[in-house]
Amino acid sequence: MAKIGIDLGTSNSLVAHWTEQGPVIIPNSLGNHLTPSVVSLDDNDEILVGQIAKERLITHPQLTASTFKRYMGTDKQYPLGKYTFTPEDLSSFVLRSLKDDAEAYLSEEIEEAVISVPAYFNDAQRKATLRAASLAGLHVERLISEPTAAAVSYGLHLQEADTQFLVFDLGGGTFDVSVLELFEGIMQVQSIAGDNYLGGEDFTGVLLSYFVESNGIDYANLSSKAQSALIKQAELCKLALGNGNAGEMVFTEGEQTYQLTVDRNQYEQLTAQLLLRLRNPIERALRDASLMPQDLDAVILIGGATRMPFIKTIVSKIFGRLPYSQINPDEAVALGAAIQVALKDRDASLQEMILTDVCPFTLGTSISIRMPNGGYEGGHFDPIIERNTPIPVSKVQRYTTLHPFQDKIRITVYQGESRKVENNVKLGELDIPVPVAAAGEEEVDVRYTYDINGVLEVELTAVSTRQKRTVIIEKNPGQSSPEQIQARLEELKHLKIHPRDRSENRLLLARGERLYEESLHEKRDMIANLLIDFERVLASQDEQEIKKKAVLFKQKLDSLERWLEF
Amino acid sequence: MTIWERLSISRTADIKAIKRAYAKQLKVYHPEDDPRGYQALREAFDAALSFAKREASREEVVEYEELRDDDESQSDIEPQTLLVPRINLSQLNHEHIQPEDNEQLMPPPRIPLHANQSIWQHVFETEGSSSSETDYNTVPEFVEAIIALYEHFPSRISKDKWLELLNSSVMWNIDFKLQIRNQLMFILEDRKLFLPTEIWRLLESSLDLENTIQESIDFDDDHNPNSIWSYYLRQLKYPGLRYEFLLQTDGLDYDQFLQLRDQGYAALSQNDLKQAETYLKRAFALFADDPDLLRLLGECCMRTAQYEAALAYFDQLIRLLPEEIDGHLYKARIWYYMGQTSQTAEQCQYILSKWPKNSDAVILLSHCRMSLGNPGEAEELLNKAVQLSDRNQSTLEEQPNLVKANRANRRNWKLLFNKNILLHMIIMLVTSALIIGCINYYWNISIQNTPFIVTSLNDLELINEQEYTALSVTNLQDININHYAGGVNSFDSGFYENSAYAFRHFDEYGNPTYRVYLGEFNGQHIIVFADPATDVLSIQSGTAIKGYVHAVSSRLESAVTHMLRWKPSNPEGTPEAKLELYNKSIAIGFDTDYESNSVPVPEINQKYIEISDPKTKSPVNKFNIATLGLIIAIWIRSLYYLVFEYRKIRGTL
Amino acid sequence: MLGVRLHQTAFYESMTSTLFKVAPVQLERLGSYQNISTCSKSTLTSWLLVRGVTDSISFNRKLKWLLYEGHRAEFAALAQILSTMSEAGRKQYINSLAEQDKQKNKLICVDQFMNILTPASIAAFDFAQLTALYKIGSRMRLTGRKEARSFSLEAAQIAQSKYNSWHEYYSACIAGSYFESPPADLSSLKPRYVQKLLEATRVHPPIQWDRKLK
Repeated sequence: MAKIGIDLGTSNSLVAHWTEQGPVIIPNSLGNHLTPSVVSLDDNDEILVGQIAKERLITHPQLTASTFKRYMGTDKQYPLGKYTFTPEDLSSFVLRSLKDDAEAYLSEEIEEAVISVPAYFNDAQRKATLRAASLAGLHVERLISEPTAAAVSYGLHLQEADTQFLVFDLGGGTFDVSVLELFEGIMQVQSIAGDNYLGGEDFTGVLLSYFVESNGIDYANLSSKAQSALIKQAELCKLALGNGNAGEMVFTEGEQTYQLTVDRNQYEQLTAQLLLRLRNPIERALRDASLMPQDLDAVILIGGATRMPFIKTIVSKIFGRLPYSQINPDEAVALGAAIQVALKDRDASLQEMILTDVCPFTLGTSISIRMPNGGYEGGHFDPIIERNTPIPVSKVQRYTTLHPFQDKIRITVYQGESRKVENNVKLGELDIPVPVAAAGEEEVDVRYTYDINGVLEVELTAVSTRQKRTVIIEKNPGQSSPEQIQARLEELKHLKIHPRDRSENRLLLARGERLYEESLHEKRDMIANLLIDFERVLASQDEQEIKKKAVLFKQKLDSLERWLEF
Repeated sequence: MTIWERLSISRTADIKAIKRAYAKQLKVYHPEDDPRGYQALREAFDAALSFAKREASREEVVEYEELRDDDESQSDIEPQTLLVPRINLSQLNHEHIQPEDNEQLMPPPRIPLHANQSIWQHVFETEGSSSSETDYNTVPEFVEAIIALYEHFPSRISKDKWLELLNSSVMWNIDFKLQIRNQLMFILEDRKLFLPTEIWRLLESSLDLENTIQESIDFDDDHNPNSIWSYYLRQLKYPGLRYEFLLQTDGLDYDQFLQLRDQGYAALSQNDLKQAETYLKRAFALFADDPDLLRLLGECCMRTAQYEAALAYFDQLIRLLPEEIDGHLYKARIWYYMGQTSQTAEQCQYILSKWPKNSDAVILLSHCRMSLGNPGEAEELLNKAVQLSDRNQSTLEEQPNLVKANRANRRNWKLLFNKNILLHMIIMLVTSALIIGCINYYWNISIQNTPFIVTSLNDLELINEQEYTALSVTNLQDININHYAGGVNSFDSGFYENSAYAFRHFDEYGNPTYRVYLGEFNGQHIIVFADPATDVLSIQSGTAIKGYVHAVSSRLESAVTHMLRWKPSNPEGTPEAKLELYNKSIAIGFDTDYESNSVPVPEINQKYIEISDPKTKSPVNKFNIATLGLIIAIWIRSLYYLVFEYRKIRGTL
Repeated sequence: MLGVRLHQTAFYESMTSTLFKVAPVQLERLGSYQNISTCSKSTLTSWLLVRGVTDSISFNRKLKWLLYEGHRAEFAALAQILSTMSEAGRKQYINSLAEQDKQKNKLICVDQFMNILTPASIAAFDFAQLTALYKIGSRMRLTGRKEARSFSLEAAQIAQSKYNSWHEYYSACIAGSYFESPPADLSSLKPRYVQKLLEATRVHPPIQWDRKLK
């Protein structure tokens, strides 16, 4: 039974498996390594995942959803046509699609996987990922954090001596920094830090705002199609700036055509503030690991946004050395996940490597502190597990009652770094009854156990009665029992994922539709004709003809797309 | 178990040895298989490591002291941190203890900044902006530059200048950056800085002060909303006031003005109106043309209902910034509160001419129209407002309809299953059926009981025995015959007897069932039967007699004929005649003696009519009416409830 | 005397009409003020429960709260924060709040309504609830009938003093309803509000606003 490693990213997802020669990325039905994390609903109620869906972001924005990873673990709803999905449902579609790709590639059934999650994912988000996997029919034994996965994929290359290195992961929407140490076959995470709202998209956003403001466009009141088109322009410009010295954006709305050229200098000025934000997590991670930048032996770049040239510059500036980016920054995490799968199985071909991870944030509870004037003040945060504690970890603290005649103690679980609970995130609460007594006489032991997957369990023990209460912190109680998952599975069952063998042609159609939207006048007519033509051929069901026409169609679309970019 | 025992090595400061020992033990206490064992091992390892590190740094200090004395040329590289005497890192940076302190006083041997600069410039491709003029390499220089930038007001509010400053080389060194941050916090504690919001945000992104503040002990004891930390956090959270307008005037004590304005702003958000007014007015005295201040003053007056004063402030605001909507909206509201509807309307219309999409103005305008007595226009305007606020019109229309449709569908189902409705429906059906039945019944009966008026002899012939008939009979005369229900010998329905005779032999005959009369109808004579109790003769001539028509039996005919023919032998009127009458019996036998010369016996119609009430009893009696009334009442009540429930359900859609 | 009573009832009926007709999910099907006397007790109990009233203690507490504080207090507090900012600033501030911020929805409501109401803001809603509550309370024996009558009268008179017309009153009452329970899709708040206002203006209350009720 094969097992796979999956990188479920905000913008793109990948799947890989372990071979004797090392980890290998499994291509999807279109032959690509990257599958965009976009889901769309087709006209005949089929689910489309990947590139096809991404095309439909522009043509059918009301039926398409993207960047839902950010909302995992929340109640956000995505209405697509007559269905409404949660972020977990959407992720499960992506996972299902990857699973199908792997099964087709390996010609065997796949039931188990290791999935990567951002190091900063909290408990609810991790649980949501596990649920999505269940919905996709995958059993996930381990969630691996992304920087660790990347480190692991590089780790094989750096096996020689003891190494301290930092992983700099700038993805589509998040920024993660991890400091790791590799010695004696042990990959140890020292500390992690990050910014959940900083990513490649923000850099695109800067260009977008600049364009919109300089041209006086009322962005908020544009149709979503226009908005998507503008975003695409900003992305292209960003790419251009990455490769050359200048980029251009063009946009047409009705009669008006707007245009703007941006050169390197301007871009740097625009992004100066963003770049400042990059430094904080780095400093924090280093501080927590008690290291100076010069103590590091290597810096690894992962995440698509690190392709931006000035990222390399910044990183060099901070650390005084050039970073490593030999492994494709998009693929490193998936490769690492595949390695982790093999490690778990203690695969013989792999030299034993033990991996340890840390807890990304402090976990504690709310208490009252005695004030100098004799009174008590509530709302203080008492940490039980400090951040960057290696996991798995289990720690216990003892607390007492505050008031006389108190008959129960309530433990509220918080996550965060502030000393006041109001600035931290509440994860849940648990009560335990205690015998009535004078204040401070009854005690309760609070044990926080943070397991290797990042799932928190809280156990309360009333000291005098030896009574115990346990709760596993769940943000959405009622959704993770097997019955509920089964129920949701039933609901989603009738939704089929678009069959793989037809996906190429479907992609061509979707692409054609998108180009139709994006172009004007004469080009539009031409594209329309091509589309009708191709559809007719598809309807004929003549395999030979379809293949021929598909090739021609693709060529024409390619040339049109090149044409459009000028 | 001591940490050394857990690691299975003897006490040592050799980091490598510790690591190797840990690695070996880790294979035994694998984190996946033995979480508790792993936790214990890891703690031992961490403790051993920090012990070893402390030992190592102590040696390093000794080493470096020697080095330092030798090399004088290092001195210019030393950051002259002691220039600013108040640095006391351990207070603010409680996470870092001794090693840091030591390292502060000596530059870490591995990064002499200046020496490496060439490497960095080699790494950059185009670095136009950071010219050496505004680039700072040491902390004190940098801090001075910050202060200088701040003191110069126009620079203070220039984002570009700040950005440039924050990109100085010295900021790239993590260590120095930390120092700079601490310095800044000191400065902040000392005096309140006034900066535009975007500059605050800039500072925050580069120095990460917010987290530090929240994590530090100082913040806990700080409950004063006026404290520096609350102030700082407020600057980040709430939209700030603008600074650029202050550039227009010279000679203004910026900080004093800003201080007053800010205090006024804070007081206003806490609704401390007296304080707010004081502060704001004092700021106003310093500089009267700051739009934000004017707005705050206007708002303050609004809250104290000083509408005239507020108007003045807003007018000024509009004069300064005619393109901003705030002043206009406020004015519209003021006129509205003051009840000046025409002014309000004018103002709203002006607003709409410039900002056609402003829904507030439309709604206020519709309020005006309403109070001016123009409900039609008001409605129109409100309709417009709906369209305005609703960009995706289709979705709004769809949604409630969808929702309505869904609800309607579900509700329609629910209608059927609603207990009340079912119950009442059943009641209604039953009672309706009853009522209809009753009515039908009554109707039938009344039809039956309506006598069929016979006018001609032909009809009389044809009439059915069961049908209730009416005849107008004239000349009713009593012919002294009674009908008696069947005697001992009779095998048919009875016999006839002279009433007088029967009366005499009452005990034999008993009560008559009918009395027989003769009347005239359409020229013919017709026999009439009547109930003995009925006073037939009082029936006026011409009045219709109601009853049932039957065929005349031969017996009857002969009896009647006989009676008619018979005449007493004695002359009429004499008592003897009466006596004879009394003695005459039809039944017993015909006494042909007394058959006189034929009195002309009139032709008697072959049908006789029996006066009676309609056979079927009129159902109109108290009991029936009462029941019917009750049923109707129930029916009405059910109907009422039904309609009521239905409307209730419909009404809640 | 009967005439006055009739007028009072008609007034209360009109006062509470928007309470029962306005959109926020109608969990209870009370229908109207008059209906309170005849609808099932279970409906009334659930209506009370939703508003936190389970017994006479909580009932009285709620009444007191409505009379002296009510939703208008919270509304005013939030309005104070928002009105110190400029129009642009307000929008910016609200947008910058995290999705999960509990106050965010309330702030959005306040932002939409605070500039189109009279200085009495949403007091109308509190008084309408008060009136309805008294009637329900009297039916459910949580309060005496006389008491209910006199306090309802007082509530009505206060309302009359604060507003100048039915239209003003309704605008405030509907805004209050939405403030108490905003719809899930907040961008539809204004259109919904206006539609309800339109509906309310089409109905002509049978009794004049400023009719003497005593």
